[in-house]
Amino acid sequence: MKDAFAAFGMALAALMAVPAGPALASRQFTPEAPLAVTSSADSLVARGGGRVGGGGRASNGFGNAGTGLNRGSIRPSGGWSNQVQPGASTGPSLDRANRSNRDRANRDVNWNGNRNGNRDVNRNWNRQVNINNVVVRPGWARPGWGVARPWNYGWYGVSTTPAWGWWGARAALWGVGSLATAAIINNAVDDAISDNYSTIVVPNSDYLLYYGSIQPSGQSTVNFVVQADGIDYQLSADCNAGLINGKEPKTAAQAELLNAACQVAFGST
Amino acid sequence: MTSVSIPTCRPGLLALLAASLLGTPLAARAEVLYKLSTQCSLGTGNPQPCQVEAINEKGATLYRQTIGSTTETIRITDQPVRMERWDAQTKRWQSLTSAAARFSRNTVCFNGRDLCVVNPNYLNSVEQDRPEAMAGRDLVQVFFGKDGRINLSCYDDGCKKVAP
Repeated sequence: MKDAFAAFGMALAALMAVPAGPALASRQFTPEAPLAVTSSADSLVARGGGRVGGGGRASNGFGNAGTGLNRGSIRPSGGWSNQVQPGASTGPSLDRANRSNRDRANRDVNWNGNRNGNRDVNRNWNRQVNINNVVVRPGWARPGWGVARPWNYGWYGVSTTPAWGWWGARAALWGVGSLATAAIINNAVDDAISDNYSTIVVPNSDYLLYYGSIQPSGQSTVNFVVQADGIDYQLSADCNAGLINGKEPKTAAQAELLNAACQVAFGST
Repeated sequence: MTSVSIPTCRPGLLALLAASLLGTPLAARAEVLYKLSTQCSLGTGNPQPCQVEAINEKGATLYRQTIGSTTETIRITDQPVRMERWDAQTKRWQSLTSAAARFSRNTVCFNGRDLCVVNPNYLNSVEQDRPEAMAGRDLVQVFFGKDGRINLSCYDDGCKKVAP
């Protein structure tokens, strides 16, 4: 009798885990057959939309025990890439990627220390957002994110001394010699992904950058969401000119924020 | 003088019109999701440049890998998930025995390592489709039974327990 109840429970669990809809697969295509083909438009800019997930279904314990892989046909945020940049990948491999320049101390610095309380908000940071309406976990924000970014990357961050016209005088005024290195920022993102956090602490600041919200809006411009004083702001940055929301950073912390967003978007990894 | 305006059509409408004129059955219409220049490997061979064409049709997505003079086509259906390789000799789809993805290397392999492809697009889609299930995952493997359906899935260190 006990076994019968157990079997019934398992059958019920299996029924609840099966997605609704017909289980029909088309068998009409063969590689030799001609196709009438239409192309979908590619775009660098992600569509808006809510977070994935939610729903009011009761948990049955098998919710995440799905099939692992699927068709891969749902267009991810940021769109499709047309090219894996030469040199970005060493070729296919099932071996775990080594994380170069990994420094565990950086993790502690980024998450817990060196937060100097200089969080500040420019007056032109006037677009608050509800983070629940932002895709903070796009498909590319995962292990291997450096290659997975579906846009042109690798050109930013060749030097810790930016070429921004305002940098020299401002850096002297702030008493800052350089900005956080690419390795520090990359490791922060790696750690956040590994720990399932949706933000990184911007080095030498109290800003929390939603790294997954980063979306290029052009070849050198990017949109992103940052949290300051508990409020989430939608900002833009021009990584060539060194501007946030069209303005030069007012503080070293804002320069670090600009640098971090540009590194995640366009830096080498 | 009276001007005559020519109505404009969306490309999709033009394709539909062309298809109907050519007599192409609607069921055979497909959409190219993307074309990706990337790297592939066959068996124990070295990585080499390849082109991936992802084609969506009703109920299935096809991945056509062109590696030099070789073309390998994988068809993936869902509900339930099946993966098949086109056998050019027998002119039939043959179920895969396994597939694996290593996210940190942006790699997906079919039938062990018979065909491996760097395809971040595929993995981005998988990741975004099931963010909770994939969070923190790096290696994902699936195995197929004789009926072509998945009979085993594993993640990361769990895959060591099912290594052949």
